[in-house]
Order: sequence, then structure tokens, then C-alpha cells
Amino acid sequence: MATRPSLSTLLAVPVLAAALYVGARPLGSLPPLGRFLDPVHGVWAVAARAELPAQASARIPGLIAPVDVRYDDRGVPHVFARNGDDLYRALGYVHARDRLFEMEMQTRAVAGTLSELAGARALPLDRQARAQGLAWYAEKLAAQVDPKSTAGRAMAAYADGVNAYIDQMTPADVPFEYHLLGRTPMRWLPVYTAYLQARMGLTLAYSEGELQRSVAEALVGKAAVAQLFPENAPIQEPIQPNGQHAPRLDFAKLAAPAPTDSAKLALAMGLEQAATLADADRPNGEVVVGSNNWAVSPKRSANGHALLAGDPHLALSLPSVWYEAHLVVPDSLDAYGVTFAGSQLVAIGFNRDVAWTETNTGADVADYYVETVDDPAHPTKYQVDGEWKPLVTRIETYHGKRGETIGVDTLYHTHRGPMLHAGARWISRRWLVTESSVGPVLEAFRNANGAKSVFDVLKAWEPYATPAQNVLTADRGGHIAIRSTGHYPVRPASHPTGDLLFDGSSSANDWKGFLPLADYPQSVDPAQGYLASANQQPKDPRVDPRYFGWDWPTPWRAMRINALLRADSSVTPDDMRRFQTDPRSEQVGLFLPAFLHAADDPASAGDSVLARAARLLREWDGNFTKENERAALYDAAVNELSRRTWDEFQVVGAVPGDRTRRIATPNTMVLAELLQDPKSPWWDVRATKDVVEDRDMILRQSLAAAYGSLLQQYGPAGPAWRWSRIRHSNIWHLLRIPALSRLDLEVPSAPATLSPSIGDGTHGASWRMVVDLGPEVKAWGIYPGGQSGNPASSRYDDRLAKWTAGQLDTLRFPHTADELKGAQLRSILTLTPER
Amino acid sequence: MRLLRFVLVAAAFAAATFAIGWWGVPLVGAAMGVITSRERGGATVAALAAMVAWGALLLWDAARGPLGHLASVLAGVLTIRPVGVYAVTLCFAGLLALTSALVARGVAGLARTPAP
Repeated sequence: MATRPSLSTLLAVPVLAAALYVGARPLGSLPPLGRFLDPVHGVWAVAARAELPAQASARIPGLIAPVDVRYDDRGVPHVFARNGDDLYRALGYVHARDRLFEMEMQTRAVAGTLSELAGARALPLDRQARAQGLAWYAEKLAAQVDPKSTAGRAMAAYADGVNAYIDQMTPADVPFEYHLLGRTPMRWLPVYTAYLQARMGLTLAYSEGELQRSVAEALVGKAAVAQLFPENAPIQEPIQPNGQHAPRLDFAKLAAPAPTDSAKLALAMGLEQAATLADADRPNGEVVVGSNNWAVSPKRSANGHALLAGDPHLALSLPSVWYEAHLVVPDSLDAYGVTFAGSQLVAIGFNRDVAWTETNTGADVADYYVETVDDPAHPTKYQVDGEWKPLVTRIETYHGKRGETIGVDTLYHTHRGPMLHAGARWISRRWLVTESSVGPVLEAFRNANGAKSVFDVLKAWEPYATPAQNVLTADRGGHIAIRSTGHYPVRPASHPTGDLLFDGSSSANDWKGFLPLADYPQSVDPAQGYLASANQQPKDPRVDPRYFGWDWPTPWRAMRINALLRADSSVTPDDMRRFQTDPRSEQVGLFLPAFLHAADDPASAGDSVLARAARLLREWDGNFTKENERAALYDAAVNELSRRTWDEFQVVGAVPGDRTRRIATPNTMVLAELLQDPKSPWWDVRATKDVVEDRDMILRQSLAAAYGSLLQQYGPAGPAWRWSRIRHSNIWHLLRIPALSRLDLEVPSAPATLSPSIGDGTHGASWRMVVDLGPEVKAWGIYPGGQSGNPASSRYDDRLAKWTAGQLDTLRFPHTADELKGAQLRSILTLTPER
Repeated sequence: MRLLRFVLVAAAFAAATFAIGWWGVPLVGAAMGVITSRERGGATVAALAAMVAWGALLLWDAARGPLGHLASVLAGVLTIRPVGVYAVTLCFAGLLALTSALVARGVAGLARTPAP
């Protein structure tokens, strides 16, 4: 008689099959569980590499001589190499050791291949990246870099270092996120450094303002738009000192809004929909990416040394965009500061003689051209000067996690750049970022890292093209200098500004060249004894009317830095640190009196809500400190004021079902300008047909509405309105997983203070640094996060507490490897040539 | 003797995991199912031994780094309690071992059945 399988066996078969399936195959967002949970080869192994071992060693192919890497007690590697190529190999290894996943993510973000790692949910980002063509152009330009040049060798050697790490990885070395995604790291190519440079260009020099501007012009007329999004800031406190001892208010009466041109609007809406940046990305018209830097000459410092502060504001992430390192090659390089994981040099930092830091200039380096094509549905040619030229057509295929095709796009390029399909029109974009090779950037940084004086730094940066940076530098000789460095396109004489859509059918509308270096905004050892930049208009147009850009960021931070430095003729390094989280905003001085004046108007007598709001606002000391219980009301009132004032820019989408949305928002500098005109038609709310609002009515309504909104959201005024409960920083992990992020951080920040926190709090001070350029250079710094990308490491977020408190760490700057010892030395990594 | 056998089986699971990864668990489990096909409770022993083996490997991980902190991080990512992460890991090993042993025992039983 045959034996039948037992019930337990029959039950076990499907359970085993299911267990094997979930063990081997991903299930939803979960990785294959077998590998993931394996205590030897899976995610658990990551714990073993969370902390730095006391001693470690590795062999790197191509290394010429041993490299000594000493990690200090803050987890900062001090890389002592004997030649430049070995230094770059070692830095590649060191970056990969701590930040490999971040490096791959930022590379894929440029290449438009995030879907291959994260699945179809990343497809919109990939489509956007490929449409911008960053990787394609970066590859073409990188191919022109001489492999024997400094840049060529640096990129190749760095890639060797990264790949040496990848090749030697054990499961414990594989970053946490790869385990989570069920993936393995990709190999590093030298060109990825060019990708990173392109990504910085996207962050700092990408503009679509012309697209929104066309819609704004259709809505309210050209004359109004010219003043609301002006070429010259109505408050002048420029980067290149203009000899004035206070900010100059060039306020003018704003032209009234013209009636909406419906035909023009219908055409322009296509442009707005082709744009990738929404107005919502600019709360109250403010750009969220900005930075501060300033330097003080010896005559205005307490210790008689030049002092420098660097404070770039970028998107905050975990791990951070920055990685601290000290790079040493005898007689050639001894630089400390922050590097980008993926690049080879110190971007912001100092050496034994000089310090340097940058803020973004915001130069206009992108223009848009309306092209004439042969077939709007399937273009193959475009017309220039009466001749048809072939379009470059690229088929972009997108792959998912398992290599499956999840999308295909056909993209077109003219000689200017990629084309966007905007409604019925084709628009091409010429953008300096897609024309600028990574070579000069690396050369500039390499030479600046080895500079002996501010003059060397300025010289080193001369070939640098984009994104234009306000390069501030100070040296031990007591010199300070700044130059807004980058290529500034010269437009045709018929329209020298880049704030409109050019006719692409005429080559006369193409760029004519670039401004000469002598015309760049710059200053060396100014009489005022200090220099400061905070993304404001770099040159006073009364000094030089040349075009550098338009719709400049608000000057509140620049005004505050200048006010602080003017008031203090004996600045200490600790003052510099305090200034970085100064709780006041120069914006308040213009808006607070206006709110209070409006509330005092007899017309508002009897309005008890407004009276309560005004009393609270009157009690405010004007500070955005964490414990302040009145700042929230001011902030909400300004937001309300902006929203109510610029109702003219609300439109209903062109696509059926589209929600009403705001196309553009003039920034608060323009709003302050408008405050000077109490009867301007801009105050009138279009929705209230039978009432003509004036300034004070809108101010009162905004204040009362802000009070009501806070009351509803947080309850009665008091501790519940503490600024720290309302304004937070949110530092998301690269995969936006809450458990790996640090959210709702209480910070000494506000939208218009020196430590800005705007919108959803995802941007802010990404690296705060103060350098004292005395006989022996001393420096302090902090960034939000930690050196390690491993979420299980104590070094993942160990700097957050100090960063939120506005404190800085002392940066160790040893002369020799052996100088770091005892408690200051955490780990030694010895890299040796592969035999 | 039973204890020694149990320890040896657990060591086999640990060694197999080291050598070939998680696939080692169903393979050793299957081997256990065949070897103990005439005994009662062989599959249960395999399951327990696999759990002990992976538990020991987790202890080995803990000796090399902050496993508790990592468990908290993982728990946050998976939105479960930290103890749940350990439990899922050990139960996965146990389930693989149990079911593979049961299936192998059943197959071995079929193979022993004389032809009619």
C-alpha cells in the first residue's frame, strides 16, 4: 500500500514555497527577505561597520605610495598622501567608506536613472533629469578633459579609490540603504564628478523665471511685471561696496496692474505648464537656497586678525551634502574644509594661509528661445536665419528595478540646448551649465586649495564658469577680498537682459560672449573694513548698470550682516558665530510699524480680534528666538499679507480639472516697496467686487486673519505659540524615510533671519564655519548631520544637537599625522599600493 | 546526547548561513528532514536549531557593533517594534527550517514506499 504524504507535509509545501518566494523576491517595497534578514550577509551585518575601527588597512590599485588617514574624534579624516593622485584615490576610498549610497543617489539623480534603484515612483524625477540633459552634456564636456590634466587625473584617481572600496566590500560594508532596496552599489566612473558639478549647477543656476514671467505679463501687463520682478533691487546693499553707509531704498510707485490679456494668457499657460519649478517652491516669492558669508579686516577685529565666516544654505539631508576632510600633500596642499562626496577638493575651507567660502550669485545664465519647427507634432528641423537645421533627437528609455522598460521619451535638442514642448510652442533652453566643463572647476578649486593669499584665490577662480559664486576670501596677511565669479552672458544689444523669451529663428538673438573679468562685481580690502554677501544684487546699478540677473533674492540677510558689522568695530570669532544665528530680521523694521499703524486706525475701533492681535504684536521684541511667543503672529501676518496682496496672480489651470493656483509671487522686498503707496490698486482684492481695499485694510485683515489662524491651529496665545513649536527644520533622509530622517527640529531660524528657515523647513544652514587667520589659523564649524551615512552609527547625526543650538565645533588642523593622538585620535586607516 | 546533536545541528545551520547565505537554512533543514525522517520531532528540532543558530549569529553581530541601535533603526523603517525585528528574523529562519524539513521528510517517505 502506498504511503500518502502526511497533512503536515502537505501544509508545509505551500508555506515553504511562500517563504522561499519572499526570501528570494521583493514583495512590494520590501527587499527579498532572505538576504535582508541573513545575520551574516544581510542588513544586520551593517552594525559591524557602524563605528570606526581603531585600526584598518586596505590595498588600492594604482596607489604609488602608502597613504595615512587619521580620523579625529569628530570622525574627520586627515588624509596624508605623498602626491596628488594618491590623495584623490584615498579621498575616493574615504568618501565611499562613509557615503557610498549618497554618491550613487546624486549620480542617478543627474543621470535620470533613479527608477532603476527605487522603482517607478522615481520616474517623474528621471524624466525631468533627462529632459534637462545634464548627464548627456556633462559626458560630452568631460570627454574633452585632457586625461593628463589635473582635473583628468583627479577624476580618474578618485574613481580608482571609490572602486577599490566597492571591490573590497564585505556585506558589513554595504551601506544600509542597499540592503533595504535589495540592490548592490554601481561602479564609479570618472565622469560622475562632472555629474555632481552639473547637479550643483541645477541647484544654484537653474532658472525658469522667463516662463512664469510670460504668464505674469499676460495677467497684469509688462510694465507692472518689470517692477514686481525687477532687474534692479529696490533696496540696494550690494556685495561690491558702493561707498554708502546704509542700505539705500530705491522705492518707486508701482505701475497699476493692466487688464488680463486672455489670448496671451492662453498661449502663455503652456509655458507655465512646461516649467518644472512651481511658485509653491518659493514661499512669499523667496528663493529657498541662499547663503551668507562675510569677512572682517584686521582693523575691525578684536584680535587684529582677518576673520572669515562661511554659511552656505542648501537643501538639508541625511547624510549631509557636505563631508569634512583635511587633505595633505607635502609642499603642495594642506587644506581643510567641506568636500562634496563625489568630488575631489575642499569647496569651502582654509589652509595654513588663507580661507575661502562662497555664496550663490544668482546670475542669469539661462535663456529661452521660441523655435520655429517643421512639424509641431513630430519636429525634425528648426529654422535659424531662414535655414532649416536638423534637430538632434534622443530616445530616452527608462528602466525599473528589474530592468524592465517603464517609459520611453523622445527628446529634441537645438544648437542652444534641449527643447520643451510648451502648449503649442517649442521652446529651447540655452543654459551655461550644459556648456561648462568640469575641468576648469576642478582646476580652480585645486589652485584655491593651495593658495597663499587672497590674490592667489582670486587668480585661481578666474577660469571658473558656472554656477557663479560670490567667492569671499581672507588671509593671514590681513587682506580680505570678494568677487562674484562666473561667466555672465552678453545678450544682443537689442535686448541686453535675459528676462524674456527670445525669437529662436534669428541667430542675432544668441549670446554674444561673456563679460570680461574686470567687470565682475568685486572688492579687495575695502575702506569699510569688511565684506559681506547674502545673494543680494552684487553691484549697485548706479555704479554699473550692466545686466547680471533679475528678481534678486530679498536683501534682509545682507542688510542684517552689514548692520551687525557696521555696529561692531571689534569683532571676535565668537561674535561671528553668534551672528550666524542672530535672531533679528531687517524685514521687521519695514513691516511691523505698518501693521501697528493700520491697527491703530480709528476705522478699526471695535474690532476686538484685531485689537488683541495688535496688542500681542506690540509686545513683540522683534526677535525670532526659539522661546519667543509673538514671532509666530508676525510671520503669519506677513504670509497673509503676501497672499492677499498678490491675488492678481491666481489663475485657474488651463487643463480641465486643474486647481486654481498662484503663478508667481513678488518677494517681500517688493511688498515693502508697495507698502509706501497706501492707495495702490494692487491692494484691491479682485474677488470683492463692491469694495476697493487699500493698504491699511489689507494689513488689518491680514493681521486679524493671522491671529485667527494661529488661534485655531495652536489655541490661545501663550506657550503654545512658542516659535520653536511653529518653525522647524526638517532634515529628510535621501529616501525620505521618516525613521532615517530628523524632523521637527527646533532651530533658531526664521524666513528672513541670517539662519533662514523657509517654507517646509527643508533648507537651511548646511555648513557654518568661522576662521581666525592669525599667525596660526584656527577654525570652528558644524553641519547638520554627521560624517557617516550609516544610520546605525553614532556619527550619523552626532552634530545635530550643536547645530540646532547654534554652536560650532573646534576644527582640528594637525600639521602631521602624529600630531593627532590620545583622545583626539579615533581611528587609523592605512592605504597601501596593491602588489 | 540530544543536546549535543542539537548543538551540532545549530552549528550546521550557522556554518551553512556563513557559507552560502540564507539558502543554507532550507538546505540544512531539508537534510535534517531526510536524516530524521523515521523519527518524530525532527522538523521541530531543525526549526529550533535554525533559530538558535541565527540568534547566535545576531549575538556575533552585536559583539561587533551597535546591534540594538540598528534594530531600533530597522524597526522605525519597518514601523514595527524593535523586538519585532529580531522576532521576524528568527522566525523566518525557523519557518524555513521547519517547512523544508517537513517537505524533505515527506519526500523521503514517498521514496521509501515500495512500488505496487
